[in-house]
Amino acid sequence: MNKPAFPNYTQLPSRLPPAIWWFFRGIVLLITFLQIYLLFFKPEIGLVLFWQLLIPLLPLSFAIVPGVWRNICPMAFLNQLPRKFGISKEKTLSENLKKVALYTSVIAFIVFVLFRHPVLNHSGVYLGLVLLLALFLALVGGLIFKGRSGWCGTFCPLAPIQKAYGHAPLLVVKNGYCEPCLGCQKNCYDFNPRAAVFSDLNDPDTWWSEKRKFFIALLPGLIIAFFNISYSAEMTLLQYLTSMLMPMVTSVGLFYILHNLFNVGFYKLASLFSMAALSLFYWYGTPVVAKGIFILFDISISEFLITIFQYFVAVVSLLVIIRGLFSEYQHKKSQLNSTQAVIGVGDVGTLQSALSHTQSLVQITEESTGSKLVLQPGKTLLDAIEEAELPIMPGCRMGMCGSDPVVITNGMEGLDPPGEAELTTLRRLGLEGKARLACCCKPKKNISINLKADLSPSTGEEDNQNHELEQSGTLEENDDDLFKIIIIGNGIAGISTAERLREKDSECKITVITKEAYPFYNRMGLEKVLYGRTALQDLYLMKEDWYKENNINSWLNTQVNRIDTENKQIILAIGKAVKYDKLVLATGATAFVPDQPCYQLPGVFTLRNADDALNLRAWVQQNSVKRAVILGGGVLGVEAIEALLEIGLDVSIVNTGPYLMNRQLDEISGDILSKFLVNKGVKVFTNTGIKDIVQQADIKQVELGNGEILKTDIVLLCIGIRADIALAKTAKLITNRGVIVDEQMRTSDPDIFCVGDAAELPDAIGGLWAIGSDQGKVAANVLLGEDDYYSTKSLPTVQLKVSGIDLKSFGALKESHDGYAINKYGSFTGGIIRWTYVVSKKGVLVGGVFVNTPMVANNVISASKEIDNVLTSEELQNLFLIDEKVIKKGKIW
Amino acid sequence: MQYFNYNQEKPTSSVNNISVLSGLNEEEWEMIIFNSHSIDFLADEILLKEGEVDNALYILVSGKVEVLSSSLFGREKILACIEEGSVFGEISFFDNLPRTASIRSLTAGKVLRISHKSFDKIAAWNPKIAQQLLFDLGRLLAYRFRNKAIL
Repeated sequence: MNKPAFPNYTQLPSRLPPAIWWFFRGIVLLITFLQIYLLFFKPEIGLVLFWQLLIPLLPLSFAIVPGVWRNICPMAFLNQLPRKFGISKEKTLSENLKKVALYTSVIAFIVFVLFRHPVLNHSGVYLGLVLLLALFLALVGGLIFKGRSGWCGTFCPLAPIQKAYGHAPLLVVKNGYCEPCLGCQKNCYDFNPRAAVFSDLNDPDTWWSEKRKFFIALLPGLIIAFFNISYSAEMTLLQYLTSMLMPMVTSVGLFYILHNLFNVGFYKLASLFSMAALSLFYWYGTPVVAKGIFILFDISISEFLITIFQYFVAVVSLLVIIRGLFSEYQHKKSQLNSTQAVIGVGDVGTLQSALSHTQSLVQITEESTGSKLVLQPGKTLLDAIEEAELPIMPGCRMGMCGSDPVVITNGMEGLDPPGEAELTTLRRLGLEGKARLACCCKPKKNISINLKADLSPSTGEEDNQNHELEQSGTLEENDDDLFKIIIIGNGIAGISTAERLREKDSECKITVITKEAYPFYNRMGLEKVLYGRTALQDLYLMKEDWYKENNINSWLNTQVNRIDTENKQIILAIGKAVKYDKLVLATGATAFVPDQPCYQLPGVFTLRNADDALNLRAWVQQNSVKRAVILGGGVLGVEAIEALLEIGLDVSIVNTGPYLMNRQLDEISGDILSKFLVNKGVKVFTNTGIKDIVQQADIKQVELGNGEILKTDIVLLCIGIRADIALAKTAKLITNRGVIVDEQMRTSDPDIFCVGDAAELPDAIGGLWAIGSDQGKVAANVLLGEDDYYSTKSLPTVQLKVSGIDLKSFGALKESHDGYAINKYGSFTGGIIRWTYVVSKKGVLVGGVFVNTPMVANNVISASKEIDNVLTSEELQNLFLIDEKVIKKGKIW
Repeated sequence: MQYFNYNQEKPTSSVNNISVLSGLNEEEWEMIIFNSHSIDFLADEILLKEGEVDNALYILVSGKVEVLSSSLFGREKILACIEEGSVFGEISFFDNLPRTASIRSLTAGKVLRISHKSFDKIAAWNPKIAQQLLFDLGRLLAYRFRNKAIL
């Protein structure tokens, strides 16, 4: 343990046992009474003894070991006796009295010195009376006030000078009276001898600190005046006092001039002035003391010894100054370290109470890092992990992509069982019963998780380089007898088809062909590729050997040129033909890029597949891009914002609709989203599109429909997707915007199926995982001979993946039609806006938007999934009741 | 002042401390809580580690912690003891560089962790609070800079 720079009394060593101190105190008190006796009855000895021997002892002891006098002072002794005998009233000195006390002590000291020449130096009686008075007052002070506040640290005229000379004691002696400390006075010297001077001089109460400074400032002047001006019978008292005043005023003036003109700090000045006073005192005083010794003891002290002593005191003064400078350095350093930001005492209470309101008691322990997370009501395990900045890869947030499996090491049994989507995904990942998807998991009791447990679909480094060309199976057709199914596309629709096929039929030969160079990955995590550090590695959603384990041939990086329906074969770009019995098209969709030449400029991007993300990131880095304009304020455009902000770009978003995400949101939630994004620094333009993009040197100028011009480095197109039907056309399948399919996912060719974004079926909205996954399963069932039909099981749900705003939307928000009822609820508390907007028709939920009301959202969306669920208006109301905040603090809009 | 903490238990009002986020109401705190992350700790846990890279800001909601710094020859030195209500971690919060000191809990308690992400969210929902926080912390840094300049 290091020695503290400013030890308080409990940290100081006891240099002498208490009994010895009491013995010395008794001796000193005896000497004092003897001295007073001499003053009254033998003043010629008494005065010399007092002025020329005893008094000169004190200043030097104050400078070297101030603690000694504070322990043995007769006034202190009398002052502390009542406490010792338990007869003190122990009253607290009021703040005002503390100030008055400082004033009185300083004035008393000065008056005492001023009256030495006229009276006290010659009159034993008066001096004796003054001493008796001081002893009496000290005793009375001790009877009334607690601790040493009745005299020593407060009214005692000796205290100011002792504190001045002893500001940086060469030796610290522990105070022997105050165990335990009663906290009786301000900046107590006994409590912390080294820190007292700093606390006094820096006291925020200038009344206090200025008096300390003023006294020290006049001290050298007082001493010079005392030794150089004498009082004679010819002078009036006024003349004498005036002449005494002059050096003091000069001294004070010098002090403040040095501070104001030469910027010398108050502490340094105080140290310098008090030590100057000490040196001066002994410079003038040593010969006087020598004379006193001669008178009393008849010993004559040589000039040489006198000079030696004068210089000795000067050296002591210098040492004190040096010690003081060191203390000052330590003090400043400690102030720097200890100064910190705090929230006020009252504010802590408010914060604690706010915390107690908002938090359920569910606690999550993450074992690999030892973090303890607290789950807020309505939030998922994923939210808590993300909030704590622990490593996790969020994806769809709906339990379908499987990007965020988490091993629950403790408390798994207490969780609600996984829903259908989560369960399917967990099966795909081979993690059923082993893990849960963080986005679906809302623990109600404490659980433990381990994020480092080995689960991740992409395993160690050594496998990475194999991804690109990993192929399995052969082109050779030596297994003619097997039922051959070819799936083109390895997105969610294609993979779901393959998965279901293999689940139902272990015999058939399944081949998955894709032009992408990567195995099945999390398309919803593409934004993370833009700012993350792991490129695509974290996005892979399959275990490395999933294809092999399931006996599925996989062809990455393989382009299919056309379908030859007559010979039931596909022709690859490398020239080979591959036969099929059934073909499933899962070619998905591509980002829509308008034909105008301005959209073909370099620096205009889309963000649909892995290559898009990698290219965009590379371009941003190579061209030190600063600004981005996103065209399209739909879900994809809004979700791209965060990634672009994350890599430090200035982002503008342009939407042709009247507000952002106008397909999924109502106007108010759209405005809330806009406001949130604007506050994040995004510029939002609505009701306008891009008219033209002009490349000027390195900068693009985007001209908006409303005439505004935006300067930017890149443009990101998020204006929708188009089904990829090029291949279907080579087979002469019937197509419209997509490949037309029936409810069994069959195209116009009975042996060809189409699923996912490439397929066109009324009611199935493109771009959603849930739909691709469901359609894949239907197609698999049907082509294995089952009778299955695709139907929209539940209303499509969108969860906006932007951190900081919890926004969910489902179904359709038809407002103006007859028979539709709308429930709206909004509240604004402390900056958090909550908004709920639910549309129903005759008690059937048809759509809704939820901003920062996750619990209501859960309630309403799960109610909407119950088919033919007709709600009474009361039941509808009850759906909102779950979020107390909305009900209690909100108002109905 | 910290050297005249007479009763050794409760600190006297520290005049040096810079108050932050004063006068927020409960709902405003709820907004901050909603967008940040609270961590419970037990006694004798290391909450922050010197040299670690992490730029979150912490508010000590309850409990007591001490600030440690490794001095020469790897010995640890206790710089200060921090009481509830204190804010720590502000240096790395601003400069994104490794932590300058460690924080160890003396009692069980709770901290509110405001990461940069949390801060962005707070700023997006209530820019005034974010501004207030930045100015308050700025005052603290200015205070230290001013005093350092004199030192």
